[in-house]
Amino acid sequence: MKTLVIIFLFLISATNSLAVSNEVATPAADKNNLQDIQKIREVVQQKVKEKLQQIGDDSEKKDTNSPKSFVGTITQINGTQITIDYKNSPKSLSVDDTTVFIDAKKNKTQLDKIKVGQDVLAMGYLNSDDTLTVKRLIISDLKTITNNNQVIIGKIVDISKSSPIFVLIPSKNKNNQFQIKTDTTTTVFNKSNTKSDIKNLVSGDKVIVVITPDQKIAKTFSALKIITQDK
Amino acid sequence: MIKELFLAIILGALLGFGVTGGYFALQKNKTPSNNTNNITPTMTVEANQVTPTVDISQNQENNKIVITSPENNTIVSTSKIAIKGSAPVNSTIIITTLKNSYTAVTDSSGSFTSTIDLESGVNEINLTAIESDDNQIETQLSITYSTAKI
Repeated sequence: MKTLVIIFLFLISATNSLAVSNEVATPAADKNNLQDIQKIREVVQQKVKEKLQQIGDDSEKKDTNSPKSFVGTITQINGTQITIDYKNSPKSLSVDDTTVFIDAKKNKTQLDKIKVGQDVLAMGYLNSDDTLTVKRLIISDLKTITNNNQVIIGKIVDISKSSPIFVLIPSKNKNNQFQIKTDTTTTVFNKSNTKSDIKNLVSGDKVIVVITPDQKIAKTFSALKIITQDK
Repeated sequence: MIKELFLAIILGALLGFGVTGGYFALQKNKTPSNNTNNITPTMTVEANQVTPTVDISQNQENNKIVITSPENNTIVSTSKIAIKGSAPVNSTIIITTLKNSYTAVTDSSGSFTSTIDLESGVNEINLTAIESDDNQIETQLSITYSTAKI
């Protein structure tokens, strides 16, 4: 009887201890860990969000703070608001008392001397609405600014013996052909960028040519640079 | 008798706590591997350490020339400037200004750099990438060289 009572008490104590330990240890500890992880996640997410926002703001500030320039033809003048045709799109310019106006002879001028149809170079700062607050407006000539240079890769199919002209057929458009003049300013290089001689060019050579339209002869181009390629 | 009763209670309690402790120690060892999949990797952000990156592989797939520097329509006060960008791998890059032309080649990552001379005023710069199959890709860049105070 005495032994039975002792065993009974032993078992009761063991069971109670198990139950108490289970209650105390598990859920609270796990819950705390999960809550801590969640808190850390939220803090990190918030920090990342703030940093990305800051980077976005900085780049926007940088864009508006660095001066920009636009060149085009004036299509409209409305008080201090000027519109130019910039690459076939209207661009709004805003001038004020601090704007410096320069004429084609590089002398200072006034806003009332600026007319529709003039080519101008506008230098200033972009606003959030994409208009340019102009600090310097220079009357220019688009013809002297426009870069008409072209690059063509193709094969020389004919070299004139009587004049410094060769005919080139582009690799990607064999139905087209270019009549290209060379002169003393034309430079010739091989693929490894070593200077070569124009006399080394022969019919059948594959070349990259930098050309510009000839001002006097239609459909004829002047070669500025020739780079020979592997055949 | 009382002595034996106390001893039984203490031994029972010790056994109970021992079994529970052992069980949780075992669980704890298992827990990290179970939780690894649940914890999302996070990053620490220190000031000035986050750098925006440009995925140039996408540009290469689209066969584009992407100029990373300088920005279009920028005004600079020096007569030389480095043109940096990316284009299809192993392309020949021809950069032409009104008066000069420059050659570069893209590296294995598609990047290129070329330093060019600028004329005073607006510089319209044409960039052409010629791929290994002779396909040509073109883009334009406008940079103004001016020492005037803006």
